[in-house]
Amino acid sequence: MTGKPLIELTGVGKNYPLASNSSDRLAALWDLLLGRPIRRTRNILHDIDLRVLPGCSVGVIGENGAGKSTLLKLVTGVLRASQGEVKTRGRIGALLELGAGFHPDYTGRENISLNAALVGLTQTEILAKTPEIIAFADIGDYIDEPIKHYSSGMVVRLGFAIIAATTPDLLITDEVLAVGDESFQKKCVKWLENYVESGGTLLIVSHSMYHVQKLCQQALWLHDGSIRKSGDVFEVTQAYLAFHERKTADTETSDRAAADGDRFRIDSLWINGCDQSQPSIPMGAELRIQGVVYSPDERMPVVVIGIVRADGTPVYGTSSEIDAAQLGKIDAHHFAFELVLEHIPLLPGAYTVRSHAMDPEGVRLFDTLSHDFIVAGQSRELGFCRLPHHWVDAPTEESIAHLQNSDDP
Amino acid sequence: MRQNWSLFIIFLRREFTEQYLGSITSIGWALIAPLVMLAIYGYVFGEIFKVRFPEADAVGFLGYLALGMWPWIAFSESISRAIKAVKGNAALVHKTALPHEIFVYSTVLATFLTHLAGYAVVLLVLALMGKPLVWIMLPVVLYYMLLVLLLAVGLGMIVAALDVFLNDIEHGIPLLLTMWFFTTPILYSPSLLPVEVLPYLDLNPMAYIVVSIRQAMLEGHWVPSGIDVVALIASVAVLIFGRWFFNRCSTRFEDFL
Repeated sequence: MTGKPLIELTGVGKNYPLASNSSDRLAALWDLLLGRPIRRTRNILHDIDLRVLPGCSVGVIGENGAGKSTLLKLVTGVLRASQGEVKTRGRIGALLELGAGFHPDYTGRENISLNAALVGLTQTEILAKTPEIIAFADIGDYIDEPIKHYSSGMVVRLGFAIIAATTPDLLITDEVLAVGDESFQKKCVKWLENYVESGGTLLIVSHSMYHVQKLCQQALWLHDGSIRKSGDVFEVTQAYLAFHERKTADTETSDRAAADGDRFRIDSLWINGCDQSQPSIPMGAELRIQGVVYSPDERMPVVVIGIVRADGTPVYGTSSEIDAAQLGKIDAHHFAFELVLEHIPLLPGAYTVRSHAMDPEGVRLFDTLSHDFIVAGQSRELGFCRLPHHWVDAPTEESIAHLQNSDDP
Repeated sequence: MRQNWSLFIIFLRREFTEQYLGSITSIGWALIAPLVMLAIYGYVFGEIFKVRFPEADAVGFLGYLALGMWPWIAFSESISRAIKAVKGNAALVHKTALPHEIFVYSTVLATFLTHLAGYAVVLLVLALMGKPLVWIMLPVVLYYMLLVLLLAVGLGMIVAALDVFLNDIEHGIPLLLTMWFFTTPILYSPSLLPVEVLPYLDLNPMAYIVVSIRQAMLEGHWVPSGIDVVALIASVAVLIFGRWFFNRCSTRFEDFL
């Protein structure tokens, strides 16, 4: 696509004044009137360059607080840039946060006029479009109620209906579409796809890489108020996702490091004497779970033992606190525990023993150590646990007839 | 430009409905409040204190009062409502790129026009009562009301912008307006003032306007002089300064709301 860029940002920065008390506010007012920069500010965005060409949609991605919404507000003209230059061309429609450009006290109808005028329609055009907008929003009698009485879904419906009817050259939006119900979301996504296919241009903020890749050709990754990477949508989104994977891995490692410190933990765990290998236990045999738990403050911890199926379905669990069991003191910090399940009624299959260390109060769960085992045997029974039962041998006809005559269910 | 005009019309219409929506007599309220004030002041000063001065002899104290009261009410009500013009539209300031001036223009104009209509009704009543007013001077009254509008818009823009930064404005301005009301010769005639004060009276634009309107309507006396030129220039200057002040501040409204 060619044509003059719809958006051109050069070296754009934005700061917010720090003005929590009235003397700061007064000082800021004074600076403003003298036409000089406000002294006490915090930088939200710095040095942003962005060109959006017609038909070339851009997705803005980044973590919370990276400045994405501020960037959109600068482009829509809600905010004035503190540094640099913002140039826009054509009709711009914006759907920002909840109640995009709506006045809470105005009725739906009044807000339609207001927003249509903001996009640049004349009064006659607005009047002509109003029925179409009301039909798309599909909110019934609420159209003549003040917006503040609307549910968040209704506000989004109306906002989107206005955008859909006015078809701006550039549509700026953030995650608002996540608010509507399923069917309305589908309606919106379909409209957006049509809009993009027919040459419309989007500037969207989204945390959904799927949507960004689907709707945009370009992406802009904001990090701490500046551009970390921009360009082809796949390159940028992949770099962003990789960044997050690394970050998650880092925090997991540090979690484990913290867990290895001075906390309640299970040091070792044996099942029927095996500490590593996967023991095979015949069905109905004894299951003996033994282990050592560490206590950082010499008090006796609580041990929780659970049995789960290989797919994670819990089968049974108990704790030394529930059963008021005493652990055996090995030394100041180590306690031994031993739990015996006499005739395990588990059906053949793979299971896991999970042991957890808790504080003596039994409130906080600190550590988990698992150990797999197999119940061996041959059985065609269903489920995963054999319940005690017996079949009555050849029941007499009278006992059934008696039940059939009775009204009792 | 055309877009801003559409927006202005939308806000103006909204201001009218907002002010009178849900009230039984609709626009009548705009008349009732000033009429009640007129009755109170008329009774207290005309009947209890028995204020008498030669200027009021022909039309009576009430008529004399009414001539000065409505321009003042149009002025002070416009300013009072302008205080909240930006803050009351905070939701829009946060989300839209519309020129913030429109809030003040629509608020002030809606209030002003309402009270101008009230003034017309009051003058009509005075005419029906056969009061000896110089009706040929009505265009002159309209001219002075135009000055009131220029002042109200200019000052309204300043208070609306200040209110975003300072909460004190909401409390301070009504007090200031009350003081201003009593220093303006509305309840009394300038002839009751000490002679030393008279030369400074015209520094108060509302005093100049009220006195001029009464002179025109009561005495049919209106010969433009140097002071009228100064007054016109000053009123336009207030408007231009107010607008400059407002637009300097408006770039940061979003940050401070």
